[in-house]
Amino acid sequence: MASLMASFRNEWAKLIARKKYLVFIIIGLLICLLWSGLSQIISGFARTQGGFNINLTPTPMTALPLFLQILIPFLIFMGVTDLITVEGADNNLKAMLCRPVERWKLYASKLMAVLTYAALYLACVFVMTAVLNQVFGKQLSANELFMALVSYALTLIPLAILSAYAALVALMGRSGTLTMFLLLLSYMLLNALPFFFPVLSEILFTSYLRWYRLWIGALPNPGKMLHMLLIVTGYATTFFTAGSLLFDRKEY
Amino acid sequence: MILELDNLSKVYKNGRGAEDISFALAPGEVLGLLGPNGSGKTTTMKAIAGLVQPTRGTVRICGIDAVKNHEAAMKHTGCLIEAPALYDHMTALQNLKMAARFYKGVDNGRIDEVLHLVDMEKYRKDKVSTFSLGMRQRLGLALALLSEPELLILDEPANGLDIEGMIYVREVVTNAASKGAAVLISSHLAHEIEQCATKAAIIYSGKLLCVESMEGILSQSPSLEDFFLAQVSKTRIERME
Repeated sequence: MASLMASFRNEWAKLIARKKYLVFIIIGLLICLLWSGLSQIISGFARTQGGFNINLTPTPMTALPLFLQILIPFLIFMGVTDLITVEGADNNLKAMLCRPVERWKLYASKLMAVLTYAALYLACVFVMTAVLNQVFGKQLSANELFMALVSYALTLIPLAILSAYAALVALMGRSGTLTMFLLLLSYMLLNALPFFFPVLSEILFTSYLRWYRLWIGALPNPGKMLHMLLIVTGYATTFFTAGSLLFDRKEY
Repeated sequence: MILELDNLSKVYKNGRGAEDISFALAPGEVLGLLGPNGSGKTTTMKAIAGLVQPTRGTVRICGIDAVKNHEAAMKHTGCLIEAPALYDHMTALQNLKMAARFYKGVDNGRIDEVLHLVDMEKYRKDKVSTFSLGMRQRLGLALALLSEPELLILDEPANGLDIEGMIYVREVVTNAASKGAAVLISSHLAHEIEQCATKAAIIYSGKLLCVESMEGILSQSPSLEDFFLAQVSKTRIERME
């Protein structure tokens, strides 16, 4: 456990030492600010024109789909590419492989670091949108905030699956550019497929990014919940085991 | 014994690699691995450090099977294999701190000590991307020495170093051995090995030709270089026949 934690701290240190990850958090916060600013202009304009009140200030719940579907998957792909493909291509992985840590722990710690970054990103968006709402929008009730918090926490599970999938692809890529290309292309395809074959939306793991919607409000029947949990567990186990085995056999 | 190799083999898909390498290293011994480019020196070292999976054979470090129990075996090992693996976007200090997290007794004091040892204290807060080849090599050495390992594996450690640096590497090796560590060092340069090793192993085309004590070698030949050339020519003739 100590070696896993040491490895996690190292992967986290490597990730945040790259300035681009901090820049992306700032971009995320700026998007929220801009969104809020625009909504103020639009609502001001609507008030002067027709006298009706509209409020488009982002709430934690309205901001979540935007970040969850586009920016966070992109950042997860970038993180695993940097920590797996780029390190392998630059021959830097040796620095950690020669240390007293089992390979599966090293692999797991890379996923943990990327997921921690995604969680931090979500936390920043949550706080920013909640504060903006208190200042410019309608005051959110404690219950609304709690439900939003639950939704944000729930998204970490499908994001963990997405990270495990991305890490598996990153192990096969020979360069950072190729890995990013493969990941973005496959992500677009996985999102587009259910439009043409609706039956796939229940099977593909990318559909579960929005699963927080199923857990808030009226819960689905126990059978459906069990079915969903089994699919999610199956994907997580398959991607992590396959990636871990591949990483274990890789030679550097 | 600190290191025991028993018929260690690693053969790549192209047929190259190292085959049936067997030797042992006791505390305080320095074994120089000598061989031409592509002879299997680095492959042997990589197999010991767990960077490649051996095709067959065993590696034991301080009695621990390094293939089956990598984590426990690596607690006793410090490595510098090929070019130092450094994170360019981080400082020298950050690189050392990352390595230090894996060892219980390695604190900031020890980090300062190794930085002083490799004469890099001035550059501790500089990013590795700004370092010259020699500075990178020194930092690589610091990383290998950080945990005061019982087994030190150095693959061409003098690469990119100036004359002072090469002398310094020799001092590092003899100091580590005098403290009871076993050192496995590889080089193309026979005279470098001759000056710091207590034993030499000659490896050629993936095969271990011989392992001899330095006194034994120098009693048979005027220098390690002559001994090496004689062994290699003998093998070439045997293969042609």
